[in-house]
Amino acid sequence: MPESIKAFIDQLASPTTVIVLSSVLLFALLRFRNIFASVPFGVISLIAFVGFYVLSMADEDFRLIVTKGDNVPITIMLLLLGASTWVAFREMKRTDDAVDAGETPRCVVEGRQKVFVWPDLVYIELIAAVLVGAFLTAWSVGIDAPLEQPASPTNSPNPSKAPWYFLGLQEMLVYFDPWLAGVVFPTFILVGLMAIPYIDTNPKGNGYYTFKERPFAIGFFLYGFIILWVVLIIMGTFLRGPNWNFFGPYEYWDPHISVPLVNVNLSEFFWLRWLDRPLPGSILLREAPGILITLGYFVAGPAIMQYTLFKKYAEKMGPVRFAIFAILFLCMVSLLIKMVLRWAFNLKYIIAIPEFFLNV
Amino acid sequence: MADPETPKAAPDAVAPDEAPEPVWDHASYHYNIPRLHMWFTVVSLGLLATVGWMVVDDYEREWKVYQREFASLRVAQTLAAQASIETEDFTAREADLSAAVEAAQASLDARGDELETLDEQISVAFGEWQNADMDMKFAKAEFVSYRYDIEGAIHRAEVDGDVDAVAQQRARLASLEADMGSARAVYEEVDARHRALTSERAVMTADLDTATSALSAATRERDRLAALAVSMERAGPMALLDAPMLDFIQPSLKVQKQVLPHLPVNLNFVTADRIDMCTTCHIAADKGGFEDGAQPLVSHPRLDLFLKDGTPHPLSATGCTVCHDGRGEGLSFQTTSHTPANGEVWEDWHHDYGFHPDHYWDLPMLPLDRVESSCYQCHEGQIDLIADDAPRLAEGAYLVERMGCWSCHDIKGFQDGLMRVGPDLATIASKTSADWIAGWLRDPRQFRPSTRMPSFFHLSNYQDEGGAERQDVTVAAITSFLTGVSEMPSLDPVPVGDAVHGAELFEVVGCQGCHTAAGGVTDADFGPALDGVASKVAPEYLYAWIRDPVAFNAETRMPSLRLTEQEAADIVAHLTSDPVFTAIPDGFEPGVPEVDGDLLADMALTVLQSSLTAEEAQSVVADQQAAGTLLPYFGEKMISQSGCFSCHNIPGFENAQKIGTELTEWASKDVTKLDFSFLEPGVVVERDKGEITHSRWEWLQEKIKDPRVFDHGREKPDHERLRMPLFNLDADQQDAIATFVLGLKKNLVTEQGRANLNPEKQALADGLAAIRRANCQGCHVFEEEALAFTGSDGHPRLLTGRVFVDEDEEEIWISLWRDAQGFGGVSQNAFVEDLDYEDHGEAILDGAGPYVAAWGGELFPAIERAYAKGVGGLSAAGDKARSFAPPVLADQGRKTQTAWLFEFLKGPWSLRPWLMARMPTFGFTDAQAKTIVDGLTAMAIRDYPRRLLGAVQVERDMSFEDVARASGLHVDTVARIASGGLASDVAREKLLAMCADLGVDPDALIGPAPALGGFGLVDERRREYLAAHGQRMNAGRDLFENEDIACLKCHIRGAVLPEGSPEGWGPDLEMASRRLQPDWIRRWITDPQQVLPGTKMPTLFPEGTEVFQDIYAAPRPEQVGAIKDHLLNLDRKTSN
Repeated sequence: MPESIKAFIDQLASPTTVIVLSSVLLFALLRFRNIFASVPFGVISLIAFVGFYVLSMADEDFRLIVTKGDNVPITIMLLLLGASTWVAFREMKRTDDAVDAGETPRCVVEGRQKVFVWPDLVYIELIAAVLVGAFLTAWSVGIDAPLEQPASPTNSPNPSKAPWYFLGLQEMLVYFDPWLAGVVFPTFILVGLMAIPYIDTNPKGNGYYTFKERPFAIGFFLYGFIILWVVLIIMGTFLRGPNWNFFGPYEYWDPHISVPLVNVNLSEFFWLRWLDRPLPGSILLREAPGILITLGYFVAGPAIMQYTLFKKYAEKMGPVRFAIFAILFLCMVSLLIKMVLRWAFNLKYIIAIPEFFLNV
Repeated sequence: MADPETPKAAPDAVAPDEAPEPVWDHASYHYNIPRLHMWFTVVSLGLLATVGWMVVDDYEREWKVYQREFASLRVAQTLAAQASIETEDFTAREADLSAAVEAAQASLDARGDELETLDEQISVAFGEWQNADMDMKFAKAEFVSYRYDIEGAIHRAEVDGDVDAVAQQRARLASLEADMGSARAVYEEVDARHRALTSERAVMTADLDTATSALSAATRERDRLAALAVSMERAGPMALLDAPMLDFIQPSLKVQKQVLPHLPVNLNFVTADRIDMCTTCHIAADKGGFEDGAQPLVSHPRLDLFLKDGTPHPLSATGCTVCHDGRGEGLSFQTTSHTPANGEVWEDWHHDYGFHPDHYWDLPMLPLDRVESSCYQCHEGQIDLIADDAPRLAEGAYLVERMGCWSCHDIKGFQDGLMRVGPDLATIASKTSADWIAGWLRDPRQFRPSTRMPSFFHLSNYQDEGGAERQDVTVAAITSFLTGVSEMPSLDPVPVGDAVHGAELFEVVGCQGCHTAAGGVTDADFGPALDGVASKVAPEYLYAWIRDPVAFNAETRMPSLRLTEQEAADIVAHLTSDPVFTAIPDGFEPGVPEVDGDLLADMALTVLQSSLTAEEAQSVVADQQAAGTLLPYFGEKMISQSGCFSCHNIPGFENAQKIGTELTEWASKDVTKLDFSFLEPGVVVERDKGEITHSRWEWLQEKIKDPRVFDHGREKPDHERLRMPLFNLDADQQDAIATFVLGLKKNLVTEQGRANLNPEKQALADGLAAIRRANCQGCHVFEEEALAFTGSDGHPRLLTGRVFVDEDEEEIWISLWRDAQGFGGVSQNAFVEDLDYEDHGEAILDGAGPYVAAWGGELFPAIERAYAKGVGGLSAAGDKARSFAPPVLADQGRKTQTAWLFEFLKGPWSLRPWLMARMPTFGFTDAQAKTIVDGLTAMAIRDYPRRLLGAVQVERDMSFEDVARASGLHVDTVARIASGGLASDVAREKLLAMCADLGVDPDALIGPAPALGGFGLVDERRREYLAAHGQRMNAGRDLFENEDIACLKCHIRGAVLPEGSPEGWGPDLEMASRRLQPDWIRRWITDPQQVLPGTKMPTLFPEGTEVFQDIYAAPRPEQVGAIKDHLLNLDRKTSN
C-alpha cells in the first residue's frame, strides 16, 4: 500500500474522526439500505475488506497488532458482524418489499410452519458442532496462546487492556469518572436491555425482519450496538496503544510519545474564563452551573422530548414507560455529548466534586 | 447417516381435509437431506484432517525430532563402541571360546540320552518338590494362625478361668505341630533328592558350563553394548510405543526436566522452584562424546566443571537457566527465549526457526559471551576464586572496584574496606596550580593517557551550539571553587638531593611496583603513571608526600617506604631533573579558560531556577556577583551535580549522597525501564547511531562506551542532561564491566544453593582480595611462571617453574635458574617433551601460547635493568639480578610462622639488608594483616592437593588414569587438579585415602598439610623437645659450624655479616627460630630447588649420597633434622 494512503489513513485516525465517520456511515447505511443489501455490494464490501487487510499486512506495525493472538478474534468478529448485518438488511428488504407489494412476506409464512426435530434441527446442530470442533482444533494448533511474562505489580503491561468485550467500557473511562463508566453505565446497559420488552410493547417485527415497521427502534439499537459498543471495541483493540494514546493503524506504538492533554472542568470555564473571577469556596455554588445543566438535561430533557420529537411515542407508551425510556435514551446520548465536548473544548467534567468523588 | 425413522403422524399438524402424505418423503423436510449428508461428510472429513494435523504437529514437535536424531546418534555411538571392541584379537578369541563350547557340547551329545533321562528325572523331582513345599507352607500357616488363637484363649482364661477350653486347644495345636513336622520331613526328603539330581547334572555338564561362562565373560561388554543398541533402537513391535497416537503409553521420547528448589525464580507474587527443561532438546549437553556435535545435540564445552555428576555444578542441582537465563520451561526454539550471538546468527535463526526476540520474557538468554556474569549470583565475594574460569566477570569486578564505579553507584559488597579512588582535594592548591587543574579537568587524558580519572567535559551531549563555551565556564568554576576551599599546609623546603642516587632509588626501592613512566620497563599500573609529574606537583609537596603519604591523606593506598629525609630529597631531585617527569606532556594545555560573565550568570540562573523562584534566583546571582564569588559559587553547584566528591575528598561535601543509580539489582531491572532514547528500535529519528536491540546488555554496552549516548537527539537543559563521565577503558574492559553489571541480579539463591565455602576457601578468597588491594603482587611473585598445555596423554598439564627456551638447541626447558648448576640441583632441569620447539618456541618467547606468566613481581624487570647497569656499586646480569628482587612468595603459607608474619606485616623491618628494594609500611590493621596471613596459608592449602598429586605421580609413576582408578576420582577431575584447578574437600580426602592405600606417606613426600591458624610456639622450642633431642641438637650445631657447610659464609647471623658480595648473602639465621616453619627448614635444607626453583641456596645433602658422616653419622633426614633443630634454637644464648 502506498505510503501516502497510509499517511492519510493515519491522519484520519483520531477518536473524533472514527466516531464521526462511523456514525455517518451508519446513517448512510440506514438511508441507502437497499444498496447495502444487494449481493454485488456485499461481495464488493467483502473484497474491499479482505483487500484492505491483505495490502495492509505488508506494513509491519499493522501486522504486529492484527496478528497478535488475542486480536485475531476481533477481525473475525468484524467479518461476522458485517455478514450478519448484511443478511439482516437483506431479509428486511425482502419483507418490506413484499409488504409494499401487498404480499405475505416469506419470513412470515415460514414463521408459521413447523419442522421436524430430527433431522431438521438436530442434524444441522451436529454438523455445526463438528465444524466448530474442527475450527477450534485448527485454531489451537495454529495459533499459540498469547501468553506474556509473569504478572508483576511494578511492571503493568502498557497499554493495559480490558478483555476485548469490555473495551467499550474502557473507552468510556476516557470521558467519565470510573463510578459512572464502570458502575452506573454498565448497570444501565444491563437493566436497559432487560427492560426493552417492557418499554417497547410494539408487537411489530416480532419473529420476522422488517425495517420500515420499526425504523427508530432498529436505528436506535444499531447506533448503540455498532457505534457505542463495537466501534469502541475496535478502537480499543487496534487503535489504542501505550498509555491509551491513539495511534493510526500504520503507526508504531511508541510508548514515549507525549500528547498534550490538559482538561478543564466546566466550573473552571464558567468562573475563571467567562466571569473572570476566582472559584467560589462553596462547592454547591462552584458546581452550580454543572448541576443545573445536568438536572436540566435529565428533568427538562424528557419533558422536551415528550412534546417535540417523541410526542407520538410518549402518547403510545404512557408516562412511566416514557420516563424510563427517556432517561435511558438520554444516558446513551450523554456519552456522545461528552465525547464531543471533550474533543471540542477539552472539557473534563461537567460536575467536578473530587471532595466527594462525585464527578459527572 | 441412515434415513430417519418414520415419524409418528401428527394429526393436529395436518388439516383434516388434506390427504395424509407419506411424511418420510424428503420433500416434507425443511432441509434437503441428501445435501445435509454431503455437508456432514465434508465437515467430518475436515475434522478428521484437523485431528490428523494435530497428531502430526505433536509428533513433529521440535524436541521429539531432536530426541529421535539423538537416539540414532546414540545407537551409532554404541555400535561404534561395540565395533571398537571387536578387534581381530577379540574375534579370534571369541571363535576359540565358541569352538570350546561346541566341543564340550559335542562330547556331551556323545553320551547319548543320558542327559535327557536325567533332565526328565529332575523335572519330576521338581514337581514333587513344589508340591511338598506347598504342603509345608499350608501346614505352617495353619499352625501359626492357631497358635495366635491359643494365646488369646490363654489370656481370656486368666480372666474367666475357662482352663478346659485351653487344654482342648493345646491338644489341637500339638496335632497341628505334628502335621507341620511331617510335611517338613516330606519336603526335606524331596529337596535332598532334587539337589542330588541337579548336582549330578552339574557334574555331567561341568565342561560345557565352564566353556560357556568363559565365552560370555570375554564378550560381556560387547554383548551389553549390543543389547543396549537394540533397546535404544526400539526395533520391531516396540517401535509401536513411539508411533503417533500411541506415544502416550510408554514413549522413549520424554520431556527431561530438572526441578531446582534451591535456585528459585521470582514470579513477582511468589517465589517458585526453578524448572529447567532445556535438556529435552539439548539432550547431549551432560554427556561426553558429542563434543563435535551440532546444536542442540552437543556436549557442554566444560564438562569438567559443569553438568556431570561429581563436578561442582551437576545438572540435577544446577540446571541451565540459572547461568544462561532464558525460559527453562520452553520446549521450542522460539519459546525458550534464545539470544543470538550476533546479527549473522540472528539472520540464520530467523531463516531456520522463524526466530524473533521474545520481549515478553524478562530474562532472555544471555549471549554466550555474557554467561559468566551469572556466576556472580552464587559466587559473590569469591571473585578471586573463580577468576580463572570466569575471567571477564573477574576483570569486570576488579575494574568496578579500581575505577570507582561504586563511588557513585551503590553496589552491594563494594563499600566496606574500600578507599576513595581519587586523591584528596583538600590540599590541592598547595599541590598544583589552578592552570593545571583546569587543563586536567578539560581532558585528563591529555596529561596522562592511562589515567583512571574519567572525562567529564566536552562529551557527546555538549556538541550543541555554545556547548563548548558552557563547559569551559563549568571547568573554570570548579577550578575556582577547588582552589578556594583548599587548605595550605605548611611544607618543609626540600633539602639538596643527589639526583643520581635518586634515580637508582627510584628504580629499585619499589616505586615501580606500582608506578610506571615513559622509559620504564614495568607495566605497573596500580598507581598513576608519573610522566610529567614534576610539571604538575610542587617539589615541596612531592617531598612531603613520598616521605609519609598516609600523613597527608589517611585514605591513600600508597604505603610508606620509610624513606629518610635524604633519600626523599634524592628522589625529588631525580623527579625534578629528569625530563620524563618535568616536561609537560604533548597536547596538554594548562590554563583556566576565560569566563564570559553574562554566560556564567545565565548558567547559574538556569540551574538555580530549577529549585528556586525566578526572583530568588536572580537575587542570589546578583549577591554573588556583587561579592565577586559567583564563579566559585557556581563551581560548588557543578561539583554537587557532577559528583566529584564521590571519588575525591572535597571540603564541604563530606556527607553528600551518591549521585548514581544503585546497581545492586540492576540486571533484574525491567528492560522497559531503560531509556533507549532514539536508539530504540522503531522510534528512529536519526539512524546514524545505528539501531540497537532492546536488551539490557546492548544498552549497557552503549552506556559504558559513551555514557551520554542516550541524550542523542534530545533537547534538554544542561542540568537535565546525562552526567555520567566517560571512563578511560578499552573495548575489552568495557565488555568486562558490562559482564559484571549483568551479574548483579536480584539474588534468590537459597543458602544451600549458594557456593558455601569452608574456612580455608573463605580465607583464600579474602586473602587473595586483600593481596590484590594492597598490590602485594607489584613486588612479590605469588605464583611462578608455568607452561600449560595438553599432554601426549590428552590431559591438560601445568608445569610450574622457571621456563626458558634454548634457542640454540631448539628445546623448551622448564626448570631452575639457568646458572643453577653451580649450586647443584641439576637434576631438576626438565626438558619438556610434549612441547615441540618448532610449534611453541617462538610463542613462549613472546609470552604467549602455552606460556603462563608468573602472578606478581612487576618490579622485577626494573630491578634487573638497574642491576645490569649497577646499583650502589653492585651489578648482576640477567636472572642473577633476581637475588636483589623482593622474595618470591609461592608456598609462603608453608614457609613462615604465622605469628611472625603477622607481626612483620604490621610493621616491616629489613630482613635482607643487602636489598635496596624495601618492604613498605602499609599500616595494616590487625584484621587486614590476619586476612593476608590466612590468605597465604590458604594458598598453600589450595596448592597442597596439586603438589601431593604431582609428587605421588612421580613417586609411583602413575598416569592420570592410574590415579583416577586408585582414588575413585573422575579422570577429568584429576587432570583439573593437576593443572591448578581448585580441588574440592572430597577430592582431597580421596587423594589422601589413595596415598594410604598405596602406602605413601604424604608428610614424608611433600611435608605436612598446611592448616589455618597456628599462632603458637613451634614444638622444637619446647622444653620437652629440647630434653628429648639434646644429642641431636649438638650434632646440628657441629654440622652448622662445619666449614664445608658453613652456613654463615652466606647467611647473616645477628650483627655478623658474611664475607663476599651481598648478592650471595642469605637472610639472618637468628630470625629463623621465630620466622620459619620447622618443616619448611627441613624441606629447604633437603632440597632447596624443590621448594624454590632457581634459588641460590646450595643442595647440601644431595639425594642418594652419604655426606658429612664424619660429623654426624646418621641418615640424611636425621642430619637435616639436626640442623633444623639447631636453627630453631639459634637465637638462644646457651645451647647445650
